[in-house]
Amino acid sequence: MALWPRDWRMLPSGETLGDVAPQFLGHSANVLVRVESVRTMSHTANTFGGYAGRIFLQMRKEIRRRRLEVGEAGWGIPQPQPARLRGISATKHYRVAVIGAGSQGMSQCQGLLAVKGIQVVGLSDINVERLNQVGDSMNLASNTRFSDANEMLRKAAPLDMVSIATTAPHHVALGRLALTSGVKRILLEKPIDVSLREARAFREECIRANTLLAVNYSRRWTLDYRAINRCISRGFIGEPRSIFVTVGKGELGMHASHYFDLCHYLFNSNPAWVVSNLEPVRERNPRGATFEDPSGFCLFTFENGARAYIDFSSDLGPKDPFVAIKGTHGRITVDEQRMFWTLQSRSQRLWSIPFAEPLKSSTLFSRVAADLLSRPPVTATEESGLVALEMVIGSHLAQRRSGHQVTFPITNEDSEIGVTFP
Amino acid sequence: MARFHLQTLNAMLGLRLVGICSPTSEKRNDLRDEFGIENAFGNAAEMFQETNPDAVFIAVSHAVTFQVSSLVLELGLPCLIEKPAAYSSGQIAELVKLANKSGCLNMVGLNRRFYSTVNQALLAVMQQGPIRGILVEAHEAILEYRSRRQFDESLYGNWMIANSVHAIDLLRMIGGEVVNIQTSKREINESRGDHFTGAIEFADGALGTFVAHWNAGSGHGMKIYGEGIVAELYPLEEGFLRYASGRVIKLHPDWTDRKFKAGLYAQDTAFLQSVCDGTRSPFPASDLKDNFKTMCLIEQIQGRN
Repeated sequence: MALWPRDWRMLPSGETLGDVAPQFLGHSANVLVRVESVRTMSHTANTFGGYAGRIFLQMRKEIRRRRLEVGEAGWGIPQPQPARLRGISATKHYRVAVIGAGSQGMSQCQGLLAVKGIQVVGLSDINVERLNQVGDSMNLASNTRFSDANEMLRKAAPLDMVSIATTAPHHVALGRLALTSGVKRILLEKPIDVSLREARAFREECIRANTLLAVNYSRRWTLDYRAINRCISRGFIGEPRSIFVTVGKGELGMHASHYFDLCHYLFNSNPAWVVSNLEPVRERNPRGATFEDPSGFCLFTFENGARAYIDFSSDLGPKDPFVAIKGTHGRITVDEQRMFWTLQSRSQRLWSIPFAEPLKSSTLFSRVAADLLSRPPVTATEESGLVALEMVIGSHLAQRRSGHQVTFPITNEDSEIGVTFP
Repeated sequence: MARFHLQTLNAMLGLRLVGICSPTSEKRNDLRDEFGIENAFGNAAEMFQETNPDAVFIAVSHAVTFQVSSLVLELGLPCLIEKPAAYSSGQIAELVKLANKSGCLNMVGLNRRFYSTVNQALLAVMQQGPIRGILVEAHEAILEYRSRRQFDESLYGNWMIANSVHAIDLLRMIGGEVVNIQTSKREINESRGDHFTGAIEFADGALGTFVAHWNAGSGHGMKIYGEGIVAELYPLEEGFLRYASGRVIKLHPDWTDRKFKAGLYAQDTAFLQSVCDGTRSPFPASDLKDNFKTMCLIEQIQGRN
């Protein structure tokens, strides 16, 4: 029986199968384990024999669910409120357009449509086939689909927000189109662009136009990372001094930059310098042959003296992100794959806390969009997006300088090193 | 309280109970025999000189807590002082000065801060979003307590400091730093008041409410309001989480709170670990410097400053 399958998914009903694995693998019964239900349950049901087996499984599931209710976390399965528009915005309707119908664009459309009061009035992509596939799956009317972003910005106006979900080299160029068309909220996928000079210039243009610019480093919006930030602010673990992240096999711009921004958020301090070891790119990038986004590892220090080590090397196996935050008086660990985090102050109880919600792109995007449309964002501003881009560029520079450290901030001249990440 | 502390200390490994001091020989000898304490003394100074302890637990009567604490802090001995550490913020300030001068670690014994249910509630609410509000009720059956004639007037007259300190301190533990407070009180039977309300603003934006009606019975309780969640703890040792979706989850005390006096094992462990580490214990511990702020809050509620 496959108790520890490769893929971790919530049960279709939203419940979890509880602590199936811990009995057999010796884990604490208080660790929330999400197991792919269908394969396991059907296999077990067949093994136990039909109807009786199914009754047994239901009873076991209910017993384990109740045990979880009184587990060490004490509060069982959290019940987060769905993302929603707030205040006066809750009674309004917002018109939002998305540029880019790739996987991220589709997640964004799903996330936007899940928020009451948000209408997706435009989706554009130069690839018409992809555009129609996403449009059909999202039930978007044909008059909301455009193969040209400019045309969409004109015909779908007035727009309350534009989200740009293309690959990074086009972010600022498309952002400028949105800015010129008069949109007052622009959300860029991460990283902000491939050019630090262009990113900085665009930030200034947005400020002059009194336009809100945000970057989708969505971990800042997750309920659990925000709760972790609150725990750190309260002093549960003292002052955070070191963060250690293992991502699994990943890419610098696509995956590691999320954790660069996360470290910036949790330390609440700007990076001071970086050393990195990036592997030569040997495989074609899945997003296009023109892109080069290496694996490797980076070590940052921050202005407050804290350190962060992010490892996304190719020999780490499949992505299984694990974050360890060490403070002067305790530590917090985050297992993103298994969706729980632990909090332990020195000598105190070990709290094992199941995630309030999964780290699903569309779910997180709902929160980002609802936040941006309700009020100015309190977390990811354009400044934090720029810092994360600087950290990516700095990592490339450090590699090119044979592992010598690169100090921040990076000058515009240094930033023009011709990297092409997606 | 001494007995409760000894029960938890006795359950810890790597610890030697080297001395107990009490003016009553029968009491100190009974405790020495019951808990296997190495020595019993009638004089604190003598005990410290003879045993040279690494840490001291001060669980004496309220009337002499300040004097004994002063002695221990002057000697530079890390100490856990059972609440109330003193009867006024001025006295607490003096203790803080002594602690700073000798550089010794200290903690105030506010064990509600270490209740597993209180910490569960706090974490569960924080997981959903920022803390938006706190309601603390601290009703005291003062007429009943007075009728028992167990203590002297200095204690009854300072009952809010002696007992309600737990509830008021929880306001600060959950809400954070107080930036503004508006209070009202009525003096029906007690000269310092026996009906109180307070509206509090915290630095992080949360709003707090304190309510105490001393002639309505007794009992402390708390509600913590968050985003789509309310934690209700009535009494503080047990409670519920109520989600906006309608779901209700019972909070359960963990094994340390069931086996020993609630909060005490976690508190004493935190204090002793801080002694071993040589650093101040992290949240939710409260030292004298932090307790000074709680005392100021109490005095504001009572209208004493």
